[in-house]
Amino acid sequence: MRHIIIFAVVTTLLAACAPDAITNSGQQAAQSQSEKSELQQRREARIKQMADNWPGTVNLKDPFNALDPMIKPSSVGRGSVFDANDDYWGLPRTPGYEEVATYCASCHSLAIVMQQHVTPERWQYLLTWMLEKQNMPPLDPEEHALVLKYLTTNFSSGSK
Amino acid sequence: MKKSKNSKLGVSRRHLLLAGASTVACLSGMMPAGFSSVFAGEPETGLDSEALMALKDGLTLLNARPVNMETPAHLLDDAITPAHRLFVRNNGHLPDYDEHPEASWTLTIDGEVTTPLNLSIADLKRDFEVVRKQIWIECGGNGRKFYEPGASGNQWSLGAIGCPIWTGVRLKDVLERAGVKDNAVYTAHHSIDTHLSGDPDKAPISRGVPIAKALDENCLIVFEMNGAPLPVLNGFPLRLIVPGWPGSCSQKWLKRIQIRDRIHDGTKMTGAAYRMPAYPVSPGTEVPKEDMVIIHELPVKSLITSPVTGARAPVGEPIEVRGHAWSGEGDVVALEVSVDFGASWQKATLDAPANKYAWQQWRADLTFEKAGYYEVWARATDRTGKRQPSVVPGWNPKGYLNNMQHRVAVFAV
Ligand code: HEC
Repeated sequence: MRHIIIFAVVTTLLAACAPDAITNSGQQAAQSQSEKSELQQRREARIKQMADNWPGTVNLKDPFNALDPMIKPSSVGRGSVFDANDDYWGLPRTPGYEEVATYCASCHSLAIVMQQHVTPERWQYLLTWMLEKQNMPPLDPEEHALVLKYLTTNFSSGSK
Repeated sequence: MKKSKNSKLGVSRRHLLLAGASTVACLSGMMPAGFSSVFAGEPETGLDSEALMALKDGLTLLNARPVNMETPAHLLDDAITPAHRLFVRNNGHLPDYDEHPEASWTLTIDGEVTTPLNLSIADLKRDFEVVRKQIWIECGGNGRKFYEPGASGNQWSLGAIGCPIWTGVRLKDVLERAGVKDNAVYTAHHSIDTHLSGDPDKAPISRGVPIAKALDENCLIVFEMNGAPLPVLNGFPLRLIVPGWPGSCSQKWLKRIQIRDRIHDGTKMTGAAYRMPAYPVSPGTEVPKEDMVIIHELPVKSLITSPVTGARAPVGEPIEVRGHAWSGEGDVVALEVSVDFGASWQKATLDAPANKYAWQQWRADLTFEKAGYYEVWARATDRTGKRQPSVVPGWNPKGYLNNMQHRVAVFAV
């Protein structure tokens, strides 16, 4: 960093007193040349370090894969990841997880639920769709509200 | 309800035979890492479904019940997609093949026709010209994952696309044999997969297309993929291929094509399914049903299948970048790549399609003169002059038609 500043000062001075610069041009050029190559070396070292730190292999199971420029973390479902080995399939343990495990895993796996990052309005629509079109047994109003709250808290855009 | 182990099998052991001789090898050796844990304790997912899924080598599992799997872009490198690399989009449970064996499988053509038909697979092969075509098939929701706010459904990223060779007969020839009446408007496709709720009166999916599209000579009723019987997960023993349109039009496990005098209103024809807003909407808008219109052609698109994102390239030496390009409108006429975030573009070599609706291979040699981090972007242009956008295109409630340029990360060292 210090070198960069010195280099900048030298260059500015050069520009400010042009006649001087002409007389000293050979000397100055040699100096900036060696500073340049030092800078170049530092840059190369940094690129090498950056490359060494870069994993270079893709974990395709990782939805937040930093190596995939298609994926920005903000656009991926961020509730939690489906886990077949967990007693509640990896559902975040906030109020309502038992109800969701009870009512939402009978027809399909919870993987389809936990992938979502939809708006709260869309969750409301989806619950109605599940009830009216997909034969989901009705929930009592309290449970309905709890399930909806759970889904919008954990699997909505903007949550977390 | 804590989950319970329930071994009700989705598919009987016998059906494994349908999948071919490599099944045993797949069970023992080819099971992708992580698969067994994905299924541990999942109710109603038996070993056989697992085995069928294990045949899909290296695919990403989005959901095991119902089965939905996509192919990572770099595993789609083959010009002709092999069976083990073709994505799976299922809406319900697999058909009961004990009740519907291939030998007595029939396809019914009825509705607004003069002569309803009931055809066995042998009838199809004997009475109609058998054709082979390479045709891409893509889920309308491919790319859904990148919409923000999220759009509901399986969060497909890039790999709900593939392009195998199909063998079958022209839908047109069969419909002409049945005699489509003048009042015919739409087809209605029916199959025998079962609804997730177990309700026998509910179809998991039943879509259709306008008669004009059904009479396109490229629409096929197929019984083979890449010269082998269709994979169970991809519709064994009979399915439709409706090129250029959302994959859902290409009904799997096809049992009946009904000709209707109105737009079909089966499962996933109405509401928001496979529909786009009639006008551009701001992200997150709840769009009323009457403003949602049925999707026809899928937009122009391309994939970079090599290098894989995350690869390293040598500085100063050319590397080959390659992939495929396709468009629901027909041929792709240009493919360009950029390594400077779209500031400049370089033309790639683009092959002609094997036939209409086959995807096209492209390749370009790229040299990274300086070490550092790069993104390779690809963009296709189709014969109508339409190009892929650099950003996720118009938000829509179900996240369809995302044809954003594919990008892969490459480090030059
Ligand atoms: C009675 C059966 C049933 C129950 C119970 C059920 N679902 Fe579904 N769900 C379905 C069916 C059928 C689909 C459509 C599957 C397909 O076509 O891929 C579906 C799809 C979904 C989807 C994807 C929506 C889309 O736009 O494609 C979500 C999210 C979902 N369900 C959430 C839930 C939640 C949350 C619960 C619990 C409150 C639940 N489901 C309970 C049957 C059910």
